[in-house]
Amino acid sequence: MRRPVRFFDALLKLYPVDFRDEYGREIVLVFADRYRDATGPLARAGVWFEAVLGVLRHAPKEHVRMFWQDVRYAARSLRANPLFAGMVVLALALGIGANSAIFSVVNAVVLRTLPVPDPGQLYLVREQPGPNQPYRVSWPAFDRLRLAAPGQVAAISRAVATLHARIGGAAQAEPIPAHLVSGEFFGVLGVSAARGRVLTPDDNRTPGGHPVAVISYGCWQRRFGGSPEVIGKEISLNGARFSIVGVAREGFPGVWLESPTEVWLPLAMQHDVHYSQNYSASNSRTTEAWMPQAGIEWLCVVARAPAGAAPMQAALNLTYQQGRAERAALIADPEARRRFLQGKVVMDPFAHGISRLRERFTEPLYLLMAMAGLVLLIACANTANLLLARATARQREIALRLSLGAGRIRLFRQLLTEGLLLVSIAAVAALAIARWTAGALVHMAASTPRGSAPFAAEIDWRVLAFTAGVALATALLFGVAPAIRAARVDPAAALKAGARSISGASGRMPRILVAMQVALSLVLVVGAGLLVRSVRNALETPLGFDREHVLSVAIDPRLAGYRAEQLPLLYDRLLERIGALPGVQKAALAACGILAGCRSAEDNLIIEGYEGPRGGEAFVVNNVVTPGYFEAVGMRLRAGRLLEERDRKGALLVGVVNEAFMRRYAGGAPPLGRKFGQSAADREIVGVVEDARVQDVKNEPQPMAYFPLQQRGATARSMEIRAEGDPRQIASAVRRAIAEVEPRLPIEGVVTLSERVRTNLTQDRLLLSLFSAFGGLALGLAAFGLFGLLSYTVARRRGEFGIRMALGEPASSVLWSVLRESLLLACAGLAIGLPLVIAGAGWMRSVLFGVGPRDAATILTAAGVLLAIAAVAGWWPAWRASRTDPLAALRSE
Amino acid sequence: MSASRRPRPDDPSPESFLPLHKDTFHILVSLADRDRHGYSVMQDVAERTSGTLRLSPSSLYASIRRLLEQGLIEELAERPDPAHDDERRRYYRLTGLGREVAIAEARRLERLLADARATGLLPKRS
Repeated sequence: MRRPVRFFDALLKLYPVDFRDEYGREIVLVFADRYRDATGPLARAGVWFEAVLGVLRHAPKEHVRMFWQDVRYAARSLRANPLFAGMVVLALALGIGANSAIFSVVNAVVLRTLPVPDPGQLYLVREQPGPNQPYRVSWPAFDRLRLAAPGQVAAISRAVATLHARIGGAAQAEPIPAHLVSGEFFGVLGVSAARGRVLTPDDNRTPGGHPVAVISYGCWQRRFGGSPEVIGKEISLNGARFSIVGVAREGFPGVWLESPTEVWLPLAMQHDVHYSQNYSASNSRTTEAWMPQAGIEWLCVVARAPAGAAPMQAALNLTYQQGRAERAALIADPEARRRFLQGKVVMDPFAHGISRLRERFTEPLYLLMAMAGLVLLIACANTANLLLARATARQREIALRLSLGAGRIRLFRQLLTEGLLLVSIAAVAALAIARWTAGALVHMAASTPRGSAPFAAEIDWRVLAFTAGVALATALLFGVAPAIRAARVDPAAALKAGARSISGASGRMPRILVAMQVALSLVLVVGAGLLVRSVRNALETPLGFDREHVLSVAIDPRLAGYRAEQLPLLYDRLLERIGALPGVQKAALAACGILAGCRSAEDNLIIEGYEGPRGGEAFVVNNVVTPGYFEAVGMRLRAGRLLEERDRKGALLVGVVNEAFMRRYAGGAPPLGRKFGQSAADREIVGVVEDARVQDVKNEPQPMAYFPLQQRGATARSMEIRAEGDPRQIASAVRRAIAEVEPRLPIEGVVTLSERVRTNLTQDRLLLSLFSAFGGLALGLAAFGLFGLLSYTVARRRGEFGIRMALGEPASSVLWSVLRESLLLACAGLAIGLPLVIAGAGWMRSVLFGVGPRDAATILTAAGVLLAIAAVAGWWPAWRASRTDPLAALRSE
Repeated sequence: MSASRRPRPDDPSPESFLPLHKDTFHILVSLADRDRHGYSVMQDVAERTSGTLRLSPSSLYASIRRLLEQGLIEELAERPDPAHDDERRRYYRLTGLGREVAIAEARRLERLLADARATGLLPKRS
């Protein structure tokens, strides 16, 4: 009989300790009685079975009951201290909220996969060696490549273009994001049609021969009211008519995170919609249809490899290297040929689609996550201190309960539940904060106006799980130590010491926690300080053009219905009309606007006198401009001459290069009179201009060449207008003048160059705002922590101050002694924080511009700010201490 | 479970506890005539219900804990018959409130029975 009873006794461990302590022995006794009274093995087995079942049923219920009892108790005790509860919840909500907000952006930008079946099977093909960019191929190259894996590879244009759409004969054209794709696109991604059909390879055979379009589900709902008659409807895109053949299934926004696609068109229709973005061209005619031209590389290759990347990569490489071998035969230098032949294609995972935002923000986002983590740590330290102080104040209550027989484990559990309750309330508030701020972050990161987020940073299961996890970790982090400490109270000693015994808060722990807050704040404040300097440097860096006086107008003459040969006349009329406006100093046209995200480059250059490695390594970024461009944007001439009216069609082909070109390809001396070109060196360098950061404010200028618009058949997409004063004041006059010259000419944007510079620095400004917010929060919390600790100490030492003052110590000396404590704590914090700053510096390096991550001035300033905060936080408690009335203090002793 | 309902402390009227869970009612009934220890309660209930209601040790003490908390029973400081008893056993007694609650529940059941008879659901008492 002993064995079943012993087993049953062991089973009772499933009950909460309190219940077991109270009733365990009784339950075992009753079980033993019943077992003894049962007759026969069957009846005994029945008793045993029933008893075990009873434990399994009731033990969990007792746990739940105990938990709710703890929660009710905690809620009551917090309600009794609303100020304490409010402060803790606020600090934690801000700390957890900062983490959840950043995480929800990380989730949306980095973690979320494309909404297609098995996104893990998708790959983007990249060339190696080469830039860390998708492999850009021409259509003929893709046509060969797809034979290696029929039906499993698709081509997409490198960019999602904004086209001018007219729906149902509407007078006003609306911008619509469109993506050019090969017929395999929908099949490879596994996206079906909600209505009609998707595009197939048959829709992509003849250039200009397939005016069909598939629209997104969102486009169908928004622009066509979800009408079932949408199939067969006509839509005009950049002047070309398309027939809608299908609606893609709901929830598929394309493969570009920040540019949700509304319409997909066959690649064969590139020329008809005047698509000309993100391409590189050699020996080609960019103004004609691109599809048949092997010299224009404008497509990315997406593949689905259900059997894994390796076999498909091998198959693709076979085809790829055949094509390479033909081209390698043209390379004379054996070393260059050998290197060229080593090239291969590799497959990068494509489960998350394409996102420039992800490329630019992944690293800063993780940096921000780390910073948000620091804020939370500070909030935890703060809360732990408040709880410690509270536990100390509650020593008598706890001692009383212990002496009345309450179990220590139970007490510990209750105190921990209090922490959990606080954190739970804070976590709910944090989700609200995250929901609101994550949306704002996406707006800022994508530089879109409010209310038009390109994608949502939703609170999904991942964000919820993350928040719950962080909240739980937080509760354990700040709750356990005070709970252990409180439950360890010696009841006899605590009760004997009476009301005055508020020992413990003066211990080391609270001081360490406050110093830690100061240390972590230093990291955040230094980070914010470095970013302030970095952004200021970027804003003040010499750009090589005049940002203050130039208005840049984005236009698209191809949409005004002009034939190529009529364009020069339009350009002349525009320049003449705008140039005559009052307040305008100079106007010029260019194919690419400054910092407008437009880039056109030529590689495989032949440059006279340049003997560098061949095989695609001599390249130049180019722009095609009208005479007067350099004066309009404020670029200075370094040698030779600028482009002039005489550089017309039929005259000597000329170009002006920048200093970077001169340094890299001409040994630093002005290469005036030298010729360069792609298939032949046919353009003569007539001048050298100063370097200008026309692509990116923070990147070093690349070799550039400017060609006369009159000599090259490019389309001018930007008009740069130099104003005498504030360029914004001439904006409306410029708009009116353009409309007078050509009402059909769409104006896509009118901005000043200083606005472009600001937009270009979005990432830095975003980081700056967040770091400042985190830094401010950290400072606030640290100040609050110091203030709380010192106020508490002062209240506790009131008697001591009374005696000291009664013995004749001047008030100023008492004041200084408290203030000194605050400053010493801050100094200790700074001493801990400094190594952290130095160790963490590497993380900041990649986001800084023109300032080192260990910039001494910034670190000293941040330390000064923290000391000042410590002085301010300590002032009030110190002042109170110095005003102690000796008599009153001693009487209360 | 009705018995786990918590009557408001400022309103300890017997009716606020009704209806009682059947285990609870049986335990109160079992303590109505004399003070008992746990096993005795269990035996009494099994006897009175001819073995149809068998409380397990766990459910018995879950109910006892609740009844103690609600003030319907109390633990005795001394054992009624120390000479013939295991000294580890605890004895329980119905409190005044517990008795009122048990009576109120019995009356409620009586009324239900009367209703059932009045409608002919059960045969009328001869």
